[in-house]
Amino acid sequence: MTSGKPLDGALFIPRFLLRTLLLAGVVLVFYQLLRLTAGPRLFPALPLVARRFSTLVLNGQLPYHILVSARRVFAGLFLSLLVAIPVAVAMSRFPKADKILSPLLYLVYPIPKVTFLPVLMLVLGLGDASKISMIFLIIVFQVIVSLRDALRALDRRAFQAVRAFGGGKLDVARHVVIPATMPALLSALRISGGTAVAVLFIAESFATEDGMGFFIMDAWSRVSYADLHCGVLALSLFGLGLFGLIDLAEWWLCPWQKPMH
Amino acid sequence: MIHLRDVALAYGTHTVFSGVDIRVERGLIHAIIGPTGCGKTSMLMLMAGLLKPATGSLVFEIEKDRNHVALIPQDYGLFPWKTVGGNVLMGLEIAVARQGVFRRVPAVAKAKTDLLLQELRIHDLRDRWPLTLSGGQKQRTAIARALAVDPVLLLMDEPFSALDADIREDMQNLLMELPTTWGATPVIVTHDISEALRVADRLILFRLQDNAHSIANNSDGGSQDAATFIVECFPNEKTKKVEMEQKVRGALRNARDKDSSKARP
Repeated sequence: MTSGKPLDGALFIPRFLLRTLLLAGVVLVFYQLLRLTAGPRLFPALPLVARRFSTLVLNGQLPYHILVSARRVFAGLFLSLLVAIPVAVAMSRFPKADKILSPLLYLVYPIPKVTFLPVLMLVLGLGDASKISMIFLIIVFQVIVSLRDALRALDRRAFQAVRAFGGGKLDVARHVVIPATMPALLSALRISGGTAVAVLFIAESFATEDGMGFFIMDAWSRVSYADLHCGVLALSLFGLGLFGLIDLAEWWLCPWQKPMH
Repeated sequence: MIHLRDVALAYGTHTVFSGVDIRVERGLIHAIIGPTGCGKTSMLMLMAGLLKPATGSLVFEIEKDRNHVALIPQDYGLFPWKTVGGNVLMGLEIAVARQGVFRRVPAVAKAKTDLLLQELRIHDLRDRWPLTLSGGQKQRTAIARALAVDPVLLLMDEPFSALDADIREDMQNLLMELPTTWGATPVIVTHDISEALRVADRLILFRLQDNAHSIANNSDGGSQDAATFIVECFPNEKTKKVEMEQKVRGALRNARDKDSSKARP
């Protein structure tokens, strides 16, 4: 028996947690090694960091900054999907659209999007707009390229199978296009999501008063290394949550991929 | 049941075949055979309504039968992202969506899927993904999916080519039961003459070159000048079968020789 969704479903979260705990163990050992080499001032004792972490969580500081960052990431993600999906569909369906948009895509896609940050801040200001636009720019090109290629690679015979049953365009979209391209879409989100969080950190370290980037940079300037490590931990937990969500979406939306794992 | 009346098919300027005039009779198993590239698969697509003839027409004896044609492609066309049950249900889901995009699939459709899975002995595979199935299991799933929409005409492209010998025989027997058990008239495409003679009541032979049509509803191999010609088979009469096989092979060889001599300057 290679499939069995209920079994996979029951074990999905425990397995995920176990893997995470193992990895956390490795990180803690690494932290201790750094503490031994760089000294206890830069790397305060783990119990102290843990206590500080729980204080920052309970007084609402960390949750607030995480939520602010999350709002920016998800707004950027949502906007990029809103733009990337129709553009990718148009590029795969209409050769003319592909001809016009491809050069632009190839011109902008390889540029590290963080280089646009100063311009975005000048044009859109120091508020949320520039940060969300930054994330949008990081994700949108990755999704367009991946989705367009996945749409191009679709087996036309699958379309015929639906049409042979009298299905129209909506049926083709529902039974073929959406499920067949979903893995590529989620994979693009996974790849660009990591970069988006990393760049958001940089964006949030300029002239801002909230977000994880601000929290970490602020702790650094206050020479509060325990807070700094708490911020790094919170940011990595945020990344873990983001990837966990994408993995969960994949498990739910693309369950046929399980036997291949 | 269907009359393909003086049909021609072309992709752009390339004519695949022309002057084809054949009838598919209800309840008989038809096998289309012929050399590679002569348009056998295109003929199935045409019958399924996926391709439009350049000239001529497809006349259905009963017009509403046009909506009850099912096609099983060569690789079975199962969707890897749907379970066996989901694949079988798909035709019914499309039928329901035709009545309204947001209509729910009724319980009766799910019950019908269950029944088909049981009848085709794949009920225990219901929640499996097609990638994990054997060739025979995929074939059964594809047949169940096709039968779910109550087809009167079941078109199958090379249905046995990817199967092991023992499963192949099993599936051939299943095919032969389709007209009586399910009321579906199968039209299969095959390149295996012995297989065609074993399962089919009637052969439709295709030649590579386009030519004037001629149908000979007799057992002497038909006219060798024809673009297509039909041969009646008697799969239950063993001696006749051997004789037939020789005749069909001879007819195809003659057609090939004629085509190649025509091609020479």
